[in-house]
Amino acid sequence: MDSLYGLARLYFWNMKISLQKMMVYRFDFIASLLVSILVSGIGPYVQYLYFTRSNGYPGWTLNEMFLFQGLLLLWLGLRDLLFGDIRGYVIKFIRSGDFDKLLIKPYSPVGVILVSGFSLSGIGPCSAGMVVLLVAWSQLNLTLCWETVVLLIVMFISGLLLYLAIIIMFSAITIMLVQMNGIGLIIDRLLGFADYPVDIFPKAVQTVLLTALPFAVWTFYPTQILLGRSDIGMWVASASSLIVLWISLQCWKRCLHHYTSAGG
Amino acid sequence: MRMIYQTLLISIKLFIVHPKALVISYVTHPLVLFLNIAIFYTIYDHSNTAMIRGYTLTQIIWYFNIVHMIKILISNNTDHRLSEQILSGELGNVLLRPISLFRFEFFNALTLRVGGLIFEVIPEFLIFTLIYPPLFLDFQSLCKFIPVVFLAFLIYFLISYLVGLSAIITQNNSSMRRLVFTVASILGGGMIPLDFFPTPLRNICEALPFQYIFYIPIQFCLNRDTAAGTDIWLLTLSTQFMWVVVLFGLCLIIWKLLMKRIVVVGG
Repeated sequence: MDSLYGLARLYFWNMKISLQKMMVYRFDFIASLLVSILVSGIGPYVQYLYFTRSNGYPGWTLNEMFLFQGLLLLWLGLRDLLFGDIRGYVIKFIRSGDFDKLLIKPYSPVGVILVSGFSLSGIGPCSAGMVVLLVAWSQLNLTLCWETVVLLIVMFISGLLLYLAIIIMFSAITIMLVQMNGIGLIIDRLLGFADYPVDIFPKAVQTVLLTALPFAVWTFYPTQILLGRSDIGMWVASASSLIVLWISLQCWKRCLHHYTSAGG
Repeated sequence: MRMIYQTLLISIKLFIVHPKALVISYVTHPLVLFLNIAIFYTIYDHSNTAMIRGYTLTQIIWYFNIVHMIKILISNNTDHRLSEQILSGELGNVLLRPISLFRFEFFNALTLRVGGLIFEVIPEFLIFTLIYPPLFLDFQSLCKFIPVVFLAFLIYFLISYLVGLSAIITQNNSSMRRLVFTVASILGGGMIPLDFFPTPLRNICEALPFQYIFYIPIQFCLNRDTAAGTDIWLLTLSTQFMWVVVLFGLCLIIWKLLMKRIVVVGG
């Protein structure tokens, strides 16, 4: 418990330092927030173009797709806000050999890594996501009840656990391979599957996205919950997120055991 | 020449120094292809049509494969490097070198992309071809594509260099980098073919150099009717060359203007 409290304090310290670092270059800081909001709007616009130039995706109307896009942006924003800088931090630490320092800190190395990712750049997608979400909400005349709120919270927590699992796995692979440019791109590509509704993929891919890589918890099921279309797969994906987190922690321990210092 | 050779050697060593990562990337890169196949198969099937906006299913899937390859072929970190050199104060040392900053950055970007071509683009092209054959492709369209994509590399390098120079004023240019890369990608056809855009937006794209980085080179590779004939190919090459001259001229002018106000501090 003390350890968790200490890590929480460390997270707030890192958050404060990150903010101070961004504020040194104020023009860039303000510009990056504006750019971030602008860039975030591109995804929904591209989807709009696909929908208006074709029949779109089966089982999805344009407004439902906007709802999906709004939730996607909101999720991406929150994810970046909480853990956006971790990948860069891990690569820098391992390549330079500074990772050794984490091994002698009073907290577990994986804990220190997970609390080092605060990035204010997530504000942009969050804001854009809120706007898209509100527009879609009003178009679809959606209502919110307690049951829906509870389910959304469960999905959010599952989503966070799954993302932590991916970061831990990424860090474990980095320890083993050191050079990670290509792997980072691959992870981005894999995460790309989460940018689309799961039910538009073939059955085999759908199964993977509910079990081995349960990306469905991030945006697909929250959208389905709001549209009143959730099913048992939601619980499968949620449980799978926990299992993936456990596997990633085992993988981390194994890789840490084989760690040999790099850089210097 | 000796410097190009040496930087080329370093670039190749950078790729082969971590062979495990390289092998894993070959195995997992087709993920992009699988994702595109799944999405576009659904869209085409749902629309019950063989062609959307003039693209067959194979052409649209390969459109995004080629975008991915072009990104590898043109990418450079000149804009980021210049900002880092300004922030650290290293620019002072760089300016004392017997070779100009522009030439050094150009050779660095060029040789790094030669490594990208050998170790990433060619193997990926072969893997993608085995998984989803590009039935539209012929030798002539491939030959037309190569010089067009080389000029796309030059255009993108010059834009990156200009963005890099902006760091002399702003020090940290990360927001500028993100903005320009995203604008180049969306208005250049890197996110969606320009044929899907409404006419007013399409007209804006035509007045900018970005479509010569992604959209136009891809048209030649996809062997589309809009890129048929030698005259269109020559016209494209000359327009790209004109943009190279314009951007190079801008680089020279802005460099001269900024050199008057440059302050190297760093540390």
